[in-house]
This record gives sequence, C-alpha cells and structure tokens, in this order.
Amino acid sequence: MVDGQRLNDPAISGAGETVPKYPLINIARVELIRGPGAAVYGSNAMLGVINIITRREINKVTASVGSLNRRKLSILASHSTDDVKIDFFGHFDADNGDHYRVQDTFSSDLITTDDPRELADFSLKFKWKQTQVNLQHNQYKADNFYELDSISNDFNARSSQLTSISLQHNVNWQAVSSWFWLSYNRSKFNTKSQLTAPGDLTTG
Amino acid sequence: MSSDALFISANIDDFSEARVQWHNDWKINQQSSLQFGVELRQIEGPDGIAKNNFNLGDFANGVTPIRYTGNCYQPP
Repeated sequence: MVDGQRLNDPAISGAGETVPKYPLINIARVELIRGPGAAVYGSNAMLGVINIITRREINKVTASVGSLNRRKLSILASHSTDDVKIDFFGHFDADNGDHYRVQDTFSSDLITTDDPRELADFSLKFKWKQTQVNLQHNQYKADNFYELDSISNDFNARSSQLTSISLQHNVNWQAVSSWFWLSYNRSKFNTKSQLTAPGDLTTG
Repeated sequence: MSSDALFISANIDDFSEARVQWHNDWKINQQSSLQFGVELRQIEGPDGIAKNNFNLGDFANGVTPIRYTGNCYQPP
C-alpha cells in the first residue's frame, strides 16, 4: 500500500507486476505490520501489511544524469493553509540499462543483453481537515533481458500501469477511531517474449 | 515454410477494482483494544489475451505441420 491505498493487482494480490519499483525520494517511512490485519486493512491482509508512507509538506526539485544514460527528475511541491494541505509528487527515471554477458536461453552461446527501463510516477494528495483525496499514477516499461525465463534482445518487453483514486475520511468518537474509504484503481500489464529457438516449430 | 521462433505477446488490460471500506480501532482500556470493519470490493477482471505466431492448438494436439499464423505479435 501507498498511504493506505492498495497497489496490488486484485487478480493475484501482489504489487510486483503493476508497480515493480517505487521511488525512494518520495518515501518518508515504511510500516511493516506483521500478522493478520484484515479488520483494519481489508481483505487479503492475512500475513501482514507493507504500507509506504509518502513525504508531505516538502518543496524540492532534483534532476540527475549519470552513466548508462540515466536521466532522473523528481518534483515535490506542497501548499498548505490552516485547513487545506496539497502535496504533489512527480518522478521520471530512465536509463539504457546495464550490459550483461549471460548464457543464451536457446543455445550454449554467451550473448550480451541489457535491461533498459523507464519509470514514471505522479501523485496528488489533497487534505481538508479529516478528509483526504489521493490520486496516483505509476507506469513502468522495460525491454530485453529475461522475460518469461528467456532472453530475446529487441523483442522481450514488459509494461505496466496503475492509476488509482481514493477518498478517506476519519472520525474520532470517544475511544473509537473510524475510517471511511472509497477507492478505485485500474491497471494493465503487457509482456512479450520469445519462447523457442528459431526453427523449433518449423511448419509447412 | 517458416523457421521463425515462437513468440508470445500477452495483455491484461483494464483490470479494475472499486472498494468501499469502513474500519474502526476501539481502545477499550490500557490493556485492550478491538479492531473491526467491513469491506466491499467490486473487481472487474477482463480476459487476458495472449497472441502467438504459431497455432498452439496444433502444437498441443500433435498436429503437424504446425500452422504458422504470421506476425500477430505486435508491440503492446
């Protein structure tokens, strides 16, 4: 979860496919809750919960370039008044990937592959008193390297996207704290891979 | 004849989840607390579509020659 909002794909209840990476620059802390917590965190929180708490009230822009043609840009912007707090986060990260000398999946030859990738994240948090609206979008794209356990340069690829919006409202009544949540998320996942060597399924 | 490799392109698009949740944390006293809640999820799981350049039905049924369906593996 990010700020209590699920990242996981409902089909498998894992976040590894739709959001494989989350930018460290936007993380204030990570909460690990061991044990069942479905009463508080919802269904599927059977063994534990990982909740990434993002940074707030920070104005910062960082840009960096590096080896492997790495380009990275992050924007954290915040505005607050007595009752209202608005936080924006934008992040773009791309590189040409490292180079690896590995055994070809379809022969005993050594081949060179790489893992170029692109990552983009955006989030907008709006808080008014005890009510908060979160909007976030994450997308990831990677080429070459291993896909479905095989290497195929110039063909292997994967991409994923997740967009979510949530509304939270907190009410404290005597010794009881109550949270109401409405949320909606939409995701997509694509993968391409080569499964056999050329000629293995020769046809007429 | 085609000596092409077998390629696959798999897409799962527009998976969505709507959720309504109400949860509570009741601190009864210094030693006791009670958490309880209710959740409703509406999940829309579309069909996953995998495209290949060979007819895998022929392959699975041992039919030869395996029909070549051509370049059906456009980038996602």
